[in-house]
Amino acid sequence: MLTASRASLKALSIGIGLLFTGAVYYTMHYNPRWDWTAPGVGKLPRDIVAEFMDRAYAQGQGGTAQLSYFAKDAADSAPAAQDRRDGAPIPHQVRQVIAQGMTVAVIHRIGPARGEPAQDVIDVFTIKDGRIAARERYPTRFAAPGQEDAS
Amino acid sequence: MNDDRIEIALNAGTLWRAVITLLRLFLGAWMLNSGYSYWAQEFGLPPAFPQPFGTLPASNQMLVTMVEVGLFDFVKTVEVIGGLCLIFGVFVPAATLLLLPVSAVVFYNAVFLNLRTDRLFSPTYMGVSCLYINVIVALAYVRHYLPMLALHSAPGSLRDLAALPTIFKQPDSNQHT
Repeated sequence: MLTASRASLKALSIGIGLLFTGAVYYTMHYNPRWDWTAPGVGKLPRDIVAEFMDRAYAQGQGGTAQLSYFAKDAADSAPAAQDRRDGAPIPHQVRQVIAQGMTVAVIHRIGPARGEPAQDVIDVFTIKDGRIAARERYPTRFAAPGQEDAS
Repeated sequence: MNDDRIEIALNAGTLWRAVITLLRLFLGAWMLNSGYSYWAQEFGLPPAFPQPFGTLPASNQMLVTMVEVGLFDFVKTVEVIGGLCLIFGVFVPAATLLLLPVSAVVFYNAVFLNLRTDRLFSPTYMGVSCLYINVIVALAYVRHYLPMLALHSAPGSLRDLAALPTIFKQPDSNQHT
């Protein structure tokens, strides 16, 4: 039979609890499964895409942005797209963003820039580990204002 | 004997209490890290780990949606509060119960959405272990839940709140030794 004070047992248990907390933090934080260099680590897929598009279109830094935002082995059906090159800012208008899970579809009109004509596209991004793992581009054409079929 | 001092018998009962205490503390540590990581990222602090969004599409969809609609704010707050309670040994039965739905959803996400049935019995996989630990700790405190499991009950009145200060009474004297 041992005797101990309640206060010391309580302090001991809290100490062990804090030790466990530190151990869990350390083990998880330094787990090699996380790529802390990914710009979108822990962020929502739609936010990652929005950040990339802001860099690539509004700031015209697509070349540098794609280096960090696109995974090295990313599949891109439009690898020569303007948004993967640095240059003058590209005017564009986002019509709609549809996000489900790790998939983000952006329906947008890319204005004429850098000697290329305007184009309407649907970009479907797939996010993995804080980066864009795939981008599928579907060229389309938006109806001109007032020409939508009202039937 | 001094009221602050207790006798500890070296028997199975003490071992059981020690194991339950360690499980309680580990569950608290895990929950605190999980909740902290979410809020840390929101406030620009270094998280223990980035918020995982699942491996398979159904899991991606559930987790992303929970964050987008703000439900994760509630879940992660519950984890922080529950985790702190378990670590500091206060309101333990209530905190254990509070964390049970969180652990159940973590289990559901791991087994039914990410299909990690291969790790169903892996003690190091917290996707399933947090529910097992939560249930074991809850069972250890089951005597605190028995009054609310009464088959027959009648409503009281708000005057019952006058008994609220009793929840701060001296440490539980049940030794089971």
